[in-house]
Amino acid sequence: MKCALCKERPAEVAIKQVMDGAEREMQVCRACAQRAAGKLVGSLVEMLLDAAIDLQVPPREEPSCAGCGLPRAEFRSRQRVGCVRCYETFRRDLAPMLRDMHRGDHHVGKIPARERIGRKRTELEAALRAAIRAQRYEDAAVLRDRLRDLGAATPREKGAAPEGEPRPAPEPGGDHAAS
Amino acid sequence: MLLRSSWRRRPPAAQDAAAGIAVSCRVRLARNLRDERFPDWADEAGRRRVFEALGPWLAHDAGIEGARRLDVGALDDATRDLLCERHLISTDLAGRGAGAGLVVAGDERLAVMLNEEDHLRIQVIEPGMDLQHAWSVADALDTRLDARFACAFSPRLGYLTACPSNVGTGLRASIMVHLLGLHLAEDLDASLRALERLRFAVRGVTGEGSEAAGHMFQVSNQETLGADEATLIGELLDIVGEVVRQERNARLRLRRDSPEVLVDCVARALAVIQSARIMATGEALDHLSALRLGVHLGLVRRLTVAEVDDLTLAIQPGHLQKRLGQTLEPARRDVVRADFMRAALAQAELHGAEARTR
Repeated sequence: MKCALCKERPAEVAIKQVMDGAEREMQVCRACAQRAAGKLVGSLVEMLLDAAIDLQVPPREEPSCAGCGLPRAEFRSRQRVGCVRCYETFRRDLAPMLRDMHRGDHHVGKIPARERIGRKRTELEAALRAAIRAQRYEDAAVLRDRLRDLGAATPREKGAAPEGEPRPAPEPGGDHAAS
Repeated sequence: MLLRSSWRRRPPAAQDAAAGIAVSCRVRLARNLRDERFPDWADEAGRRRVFEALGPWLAHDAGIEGARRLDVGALDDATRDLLCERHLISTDLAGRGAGAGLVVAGDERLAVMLNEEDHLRIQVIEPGMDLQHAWSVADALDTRLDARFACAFSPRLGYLTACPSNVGTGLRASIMVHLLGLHLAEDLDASLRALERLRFAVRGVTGEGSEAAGHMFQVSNQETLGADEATLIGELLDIVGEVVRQERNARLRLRRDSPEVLVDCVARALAVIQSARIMATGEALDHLSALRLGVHLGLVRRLTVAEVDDLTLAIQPGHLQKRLGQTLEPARRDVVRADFMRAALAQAELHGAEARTR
């Protein structure tokens, strides 16, 4: 269908117009839709005089996971994710699914050792900073020793880290604080 | 060749009160490596990488006794069937092709599937209801795994899995129960529906879909997020404990109020097995189920529950063909099965008063 206004470009957007108590819908292209919207916003007087216009713009494009390229449509049809990063990419879609399937929205079970160590380190580092700020140097020394006992910053990871596969960046869920 | 000796080895029958009803229990943990795509979305090269990274470590360095590593994609169909029948692999893994792997302990109580729906599916099976022990074994392996590999885990969502239905603990615990008593008492549907209302999954163990040839049912948790492992396991033990009580009561009531129903069921099963020349798997499983109940209630002599359980495995298509060392058409298999069962149960007979009425 061609745009009702310019009659050239393909119609992609529906504009609903309420005028004199009646609702009218026009199928227009994106350019004309933006111009119509711009026209309204640009002039307050015109806005008041013109009928209210309800602009409906379809989403520009569906996201794909940056970690593995799984398209959203594919994820929705398979009901499976492609990699760890998908849990962040499709967070909105997953929230109702998880609510439906499970009894809670966050994990309360076993935590892998390296994760526990990471959290402990974060806690100790924060406590160390606080102790130094408060000039409790003896406490700080104890904390520094405990940090040293925890071991090297990142345990050597011999996972199958492939070439060229982007490492998932932030932790899915974005929650770094110990919960 | 793989498994020729081990197919005879079975976990010993449990001695506790639930014995005879709770047959075995299983703990399954779903785990993934952090830096690889999950198996369904990965390409063959990716799955191979996972297989090569995890397989050797599991087979040699993970502390699994008598571990054997199998390239499931490269096996012949009969061996794959056998592994499925022993619940060591799933039908999904059997159909995966390249990249599908299995590392199994010598006693077959611990098995790790590679590249099924998740990179790893750790599975521990124990006789009876000892879920706590099964969990401790699985947990120990998982801890060793985590020390060696970067696993997919999020502080908010826990262990990350290919299917959102497994996130969090990634734990599916299940118990297999024999519910012929409830079936004969016509109380089975009510019990199963009650389980489903409480959000437990109930599945017939053998047969297609939810068909329950042999009246064996697997009860498992469905939720994996929002509760910890001890809670999930405790709740399953509680609910199955209740089901076991119901089954036991059904058996006692039958014995007390309509013993002829019980004896008839067992006697027919024995008679058919001892006479039949053609026996399909489904029918065999139903008869063995009746015998199992009969043995448990002391109605059958010269047969033990363990022997019935062994037979239940031995008569299945993959096992039968492995035993004979050849592939057979279903019709031929049914004849072989009938012969095999007649021979195996030639000595069994009804016990006591029931036998005298012949």
